[in-house]
Amino acid sequence: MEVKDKLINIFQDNGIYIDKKKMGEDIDLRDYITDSIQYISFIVEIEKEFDIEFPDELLLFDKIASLNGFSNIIKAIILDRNISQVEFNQNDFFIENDDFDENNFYLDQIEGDENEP
Amino acid sequence: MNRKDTNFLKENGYFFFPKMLQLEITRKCPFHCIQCYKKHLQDQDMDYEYLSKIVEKAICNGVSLFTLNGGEPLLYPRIVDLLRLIGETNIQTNIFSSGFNLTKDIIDLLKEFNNLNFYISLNGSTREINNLSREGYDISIAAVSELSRNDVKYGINWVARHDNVQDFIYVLSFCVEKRASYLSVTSNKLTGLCEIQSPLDYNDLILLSEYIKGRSSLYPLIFIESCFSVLSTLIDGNKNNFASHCYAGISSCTVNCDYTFQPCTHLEYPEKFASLEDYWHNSNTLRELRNYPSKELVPCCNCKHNKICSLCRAMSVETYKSFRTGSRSCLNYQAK
Repeated sequence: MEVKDKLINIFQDNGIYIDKKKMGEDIDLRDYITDSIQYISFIVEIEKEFDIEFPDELLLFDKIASLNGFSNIIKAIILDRNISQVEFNQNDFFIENDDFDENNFYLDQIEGDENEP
Repeated sequence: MNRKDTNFLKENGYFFFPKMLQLEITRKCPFHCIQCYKKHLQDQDMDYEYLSKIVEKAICNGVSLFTLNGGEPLLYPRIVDLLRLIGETNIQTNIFSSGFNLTKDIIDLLKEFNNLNFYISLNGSTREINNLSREGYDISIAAVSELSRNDVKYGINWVARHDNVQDFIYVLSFCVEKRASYLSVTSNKLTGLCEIQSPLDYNDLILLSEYIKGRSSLYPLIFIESCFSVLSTLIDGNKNNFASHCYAGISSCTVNCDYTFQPCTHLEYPEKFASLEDYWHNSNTLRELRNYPSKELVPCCNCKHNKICSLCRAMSVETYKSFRTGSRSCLNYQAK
């Protein structure tokens, strides 16, 4: 199952139903998650589902915005869990119409970091 | 939140330190409202030094919301000092009041600090309707006028009951007329006599949901309190429902003015502990709440709203007396 599908399932398990017709579009998560407690509960659900840990920068509520951006981050973490040195670009969390590109910023960073001592 | 706190939540199912803290700063109140759940308690104020330490500790531990309640919070002897103290922290703070003792000093503080969210409790647009459950109508109306005249951002707190539900649209109009920014819609809970007075029926619930869904204006913003998920399930299955549930024992608890702690202001299970942290991690009452989430209780676990609904234990005698019982009297139960 795609990361985005799993994310949407986590939403549904927590009572948020996203119209399947909108699956191809990006979604502003701030319409659905309105405070820091909801946000961190959501983060915990995702970490459990994917068996991952988000970097500390992403534990802050004001980092949230785009479902696609979130989905991309999760993919990056899954592909290489040693991401502690990745520098996240805040713009990537905002609404945009990007499809995940394996050559994007995150993977480049991760691959570069692999050679770090 | 940091990694340590996040891991604690993941492993234990509750926050390391309460993120929302209800502070019962006084039990004094000039009124004797029919719906009151604290009539049997003696008048008392919270010690200010104790209160200051609780506030300081909460801030150090990342609290995100304070709620000041009573009694009538504006009767707290050091309310001005307290509002300034909390106002300067910039932490969101809800204050629920009848409007009694709303002085110029308090109005100035409400204007000065945007994080102080002041609510006037009003259950009806007319004296007759309000008096069916609350006293002090004239004082509340005068307070509303004063807030409006001074351009203070404020809200109205309204409890949904069978005897006032048809008046909701007039309360809404009242809010528009008096420039209230928010309308908080909350559920009817057990009184001090351990009964629900004028309970909603299913038609009331539908009517209320239709009023809210059908209104044409965005303002005032309507907040359906987390304890009223039986209504929010009817209104908006799509947005703003994430974790729309009872937070008691998970991220919230109450500090009482007699140095006891309890899960919520509406769950009177007071316990004495050496500290808030000691209570939060070692209370058997909180453990019981955490071990028996409403989603797993019969019959709630068999309801199709199970994912987005969460039980307020103070909405029925059966769920109040045993945290292991789901609501058999829920108005919106629908088998899966």
